[in-house]
Amino acid sequence: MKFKDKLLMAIDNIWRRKLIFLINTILGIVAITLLAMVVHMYNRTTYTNKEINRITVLSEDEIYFLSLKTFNFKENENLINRVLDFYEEIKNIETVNWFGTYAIDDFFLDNKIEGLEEIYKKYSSVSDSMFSMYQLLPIPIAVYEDKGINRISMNIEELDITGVKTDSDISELNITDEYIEVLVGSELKEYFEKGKIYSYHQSDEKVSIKVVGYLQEDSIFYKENVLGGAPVYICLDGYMVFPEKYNYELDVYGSAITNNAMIYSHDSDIKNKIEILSHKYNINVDLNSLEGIMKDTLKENVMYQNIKLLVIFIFILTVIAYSASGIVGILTRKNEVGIFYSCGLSTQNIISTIAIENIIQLIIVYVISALFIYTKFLESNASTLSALGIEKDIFIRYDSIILLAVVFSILMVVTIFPAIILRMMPIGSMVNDN
Amino acid sequence: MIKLENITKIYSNNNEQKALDDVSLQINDGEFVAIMGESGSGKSTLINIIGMMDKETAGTYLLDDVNISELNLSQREKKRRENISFIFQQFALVKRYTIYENVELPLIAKGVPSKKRKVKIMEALKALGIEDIANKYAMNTSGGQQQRAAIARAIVSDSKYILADEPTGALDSNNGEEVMKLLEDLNKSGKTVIMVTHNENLAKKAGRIINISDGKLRF
Ligand SMILES: Nc1ncnc2c1ncn2[C@@H]1O[C@H](COP(=O)(O)OP(=O)(O)OP(=O)(O)O)[C@@H](O)[C@H]1O
Ligand SMILES: [Mg+2]
Repeated sequence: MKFKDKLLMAIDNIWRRKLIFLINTILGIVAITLLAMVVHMYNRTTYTNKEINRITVLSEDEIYFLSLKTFNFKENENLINRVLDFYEEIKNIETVNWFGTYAIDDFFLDNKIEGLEEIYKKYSSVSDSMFSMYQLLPIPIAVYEDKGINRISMNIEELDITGVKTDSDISELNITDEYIEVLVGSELKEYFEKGKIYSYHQSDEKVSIKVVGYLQEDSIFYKENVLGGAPVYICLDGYMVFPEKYNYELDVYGSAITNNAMIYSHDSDIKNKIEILSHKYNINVDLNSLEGIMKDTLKENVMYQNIKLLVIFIFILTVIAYSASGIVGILTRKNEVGIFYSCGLSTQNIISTIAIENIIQLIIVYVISALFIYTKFLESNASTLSALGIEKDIFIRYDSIILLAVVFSILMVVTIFPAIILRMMPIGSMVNDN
Repeated sequence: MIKLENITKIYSNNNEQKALDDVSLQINDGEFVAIMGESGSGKSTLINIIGMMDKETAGTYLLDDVNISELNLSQREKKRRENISFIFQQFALVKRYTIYENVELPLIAKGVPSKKRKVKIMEALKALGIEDIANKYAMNTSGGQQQRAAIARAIVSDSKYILADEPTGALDSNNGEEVMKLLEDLNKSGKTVIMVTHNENLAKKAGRIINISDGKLRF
């Protein structure tokens, strides 16, 4: 039997059984998409779950994230001044050890409003032009003796105290004479005294840091990865928390944080005080403690756990249904298979025709789900990415590629089930079955 | 020439019962043989072993002096494709195929190019007077038409041996006699025909009658 004839026969069989084919195709797509969800969630949660006990209060004092909810600077001419005054007052609260603006979102990027520059200049520890704004993120920087390593990195190893130093990272920093306020990790406690100013050289520039506080042992920095991958999750014992310059091109991960300032304080009443101030200046703000944010994240993770289990369950059911329908497809055609056999088609011919049928189906299922998953992944990230001015197609997700490969293998195995079943049946006597 | 030597068939899934018990039989080329026997006596089993749809449990089967018992599955399938045509009681047409497509199957199996296939199929359909229903789906045709299509299918593959398992069993006597006539014609054209039947009148028209009961041949 010629391959062309097998192919034609397979296509013909598909066409004549289009309803079953359609049902199978939908099942297949559902199975793949569900698996995609599982993998997606798996990435999201495992890291934290594994070390869930290690998340403690980040610092001896507390870090708060302050989000501005009043944004409309254009229509609200004196808003900038109000924000400036508001910030100034916060900074002057005695119990506030450290205050800095740190967040940027697309609103600021799209509307380079005059005056915002002023805010950033005044409250960012490192100053620069409006064009490249700063973000005071508690991203760790390793400091030892007179060397500084400044990185925004997803790679924990790279952040190690004995770690790397690259010129490109350092050149991003434009350091002024002012000192930079830092929090020191517990392992470094003995080297850095609270309140003291230390200096080191970075490229040709002298950098001064002032120790404003210590981190508790086992402090973990957790930041959700907005793109759905593994979260940033770093034990901070060996690090200093440093105000970091924000780099749009390199770091796409930090963008979704909508908070606009970070407050470091040990005042249990700080929330109230800031609330009162926000009323005074008529600025709508959100104040969240880092601890609170982390707790919420953990709660969310538990919820994801349950959803994950449910989805895995549905996925297994779907895969079973998919393979079962392939097998039923054979069993309901036993008589036909027997006729083919009696007409001289060999077992090999019949099995390969059925395999071709299934493989055509698989390819269709696979292509549709791949497109589906891709657009889904990309779309969910599109707003984030476009806010960062990043072309969406430069972003390739490895985990989705791996996922698609894994799924293809699983379905490939499921796809040859019917052929295996057929191989085990007495084809010769099937002509009499109906 | 078909030569069975001490063929035994046991269905292990059926109480180890012997469907065929030490059957020895020779059928010469050009013969028309009728096989008769009670229901369950092993007629279909015999014809399926001759047609290589099934493999004997013990014994030797020689087809044109080739020891079929020693061949592996794909070799046997090849032998069958080249030598054997089947006609079944329940017509054995793929219902969702047209008559044409059903008749085409053995030619596809043999790898005949589609243009040549068409000529052969139309010839056979004409010979059986069913060319006008070539494009009808098998399920929309009558039993007589279906059995004629099955015979057409046996004709196109031009096999030396035609094995018919109760070909008239599901037909009324008119149609049955017509099918019998067609088989006789095939036999006259040189084919060896082996037919299972319950109908004594039809069996008498065959050159030889083989009786089988409880898996054993009776003479
Ligand atoms: N695939 C099978 N599996 C198990 N047992 C079988 C199988 N095919 C036939 N048998 C058994 O073998 C014996 C002979 O069956 P066979 O079909 O050859 O009889 P038959 O003479 O053709 O009967 P009928 O006239 O009813 O068609 C029976 O007892 C039957 O139950
Ligand atoms: Mg029978």
